Amino acid sequence: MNLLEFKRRLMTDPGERSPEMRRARASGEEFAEAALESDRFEAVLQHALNVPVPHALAESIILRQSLDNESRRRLWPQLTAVAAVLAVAVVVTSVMLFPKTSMVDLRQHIAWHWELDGPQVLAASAGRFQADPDQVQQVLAEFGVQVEPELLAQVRMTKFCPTPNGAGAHIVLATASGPVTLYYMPRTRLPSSPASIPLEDGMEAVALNVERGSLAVIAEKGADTPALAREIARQLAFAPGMTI
Amino acid sequence: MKDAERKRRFDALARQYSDDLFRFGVWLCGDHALANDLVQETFMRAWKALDSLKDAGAAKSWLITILRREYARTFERKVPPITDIDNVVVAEESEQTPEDRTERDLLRKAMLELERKYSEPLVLQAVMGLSIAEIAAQLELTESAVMTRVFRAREKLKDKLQPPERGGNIHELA
Repeated sequence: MNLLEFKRRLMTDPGERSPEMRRARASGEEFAEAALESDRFEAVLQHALNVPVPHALAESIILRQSLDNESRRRLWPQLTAVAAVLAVAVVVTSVMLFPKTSMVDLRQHIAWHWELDGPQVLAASAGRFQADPDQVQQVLAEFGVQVEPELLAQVRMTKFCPTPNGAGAHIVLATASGPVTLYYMPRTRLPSSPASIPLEDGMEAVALNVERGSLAVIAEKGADTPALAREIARQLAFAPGMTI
Repeated sequence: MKDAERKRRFDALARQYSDDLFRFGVWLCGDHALANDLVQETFMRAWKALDSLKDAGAAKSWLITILRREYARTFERKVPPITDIDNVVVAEESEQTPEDRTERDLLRKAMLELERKYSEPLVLQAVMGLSIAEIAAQLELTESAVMTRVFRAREKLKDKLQPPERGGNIHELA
């Protein structure tokens, strides 16, 4: 193997340890130097690509799967009952289109979601200016929601996120009371609204039903979160007749 | 498969592969938070389809396939144009020297600028530990095409890393 071929193979598959490559590595100074340079580059590459992983990622995946499974198990008898009602009912009410999530499930989900990436997303949005209004509206338009300009001006970050019933939106707002996290859950209805959910790290979530689905507002304990949640809900408009 | 066995198998997969899949996801979508959601959704789909995984040795490729499909199906259109390394790395403690950190950050920035056709096979090789043949199967390419792409990927990264006067070495090979 000549030096050029040796370098090509180091660039293509640096981990190759065939007898041919091992022999080449030991066949002269230029080969050894090329191998050393390749090893050094691969070490830097590994450092660069191995980005930090969220704390306890595997455990949060396992927990979510367990919650999802438990939720389905509880939902199954309800679905059977609903199917029986549907068989005889003529009218399907809008309430039936939005299966209510039990408060236990919702509390678990919001606590899980906050622990998953709440503080991290909040930290990442710190110091950011207003999020691109088009991008914010684009995310919310997926769920047939529009945001009033006053609220739009407070948005620092928006992303899609998991909810107990499919995708929703995770939003960070810069309010007069400080940074606030908002989860919009378009297909989740609360059995009793509003509801207060204490979280770790001195945070509190207030969840309430809105015209379509529900939202949870997370702020530091001590902030008037219920009022904040009502004010945010007031500034959301829902496209009529849209099913999601 | 019994429920308990199924659950044990799923938990083992999550513990073994979630970190590497997250890293692969980060370089695929260029966003830390989105990669987290992507991996979560990947495992939810994996749970539903777990009975279809017959060969435990194929688990890694199987999960990568689910993640790539999930990305194409749901996430790809939601990824904002990423130019900021802060979206990729949220916070990191390091024992490296400042020089090493500079080199690492340069390389991360260069990775974000790489076209996906170059970055994806490289990450599959360097992070997920797939062989050229496995990458070829995953990306539905020939092995020689994969070799060309990982070669070019490294070449482009080295170009960004090396001072201009040393940048010519690798070009001789192209």
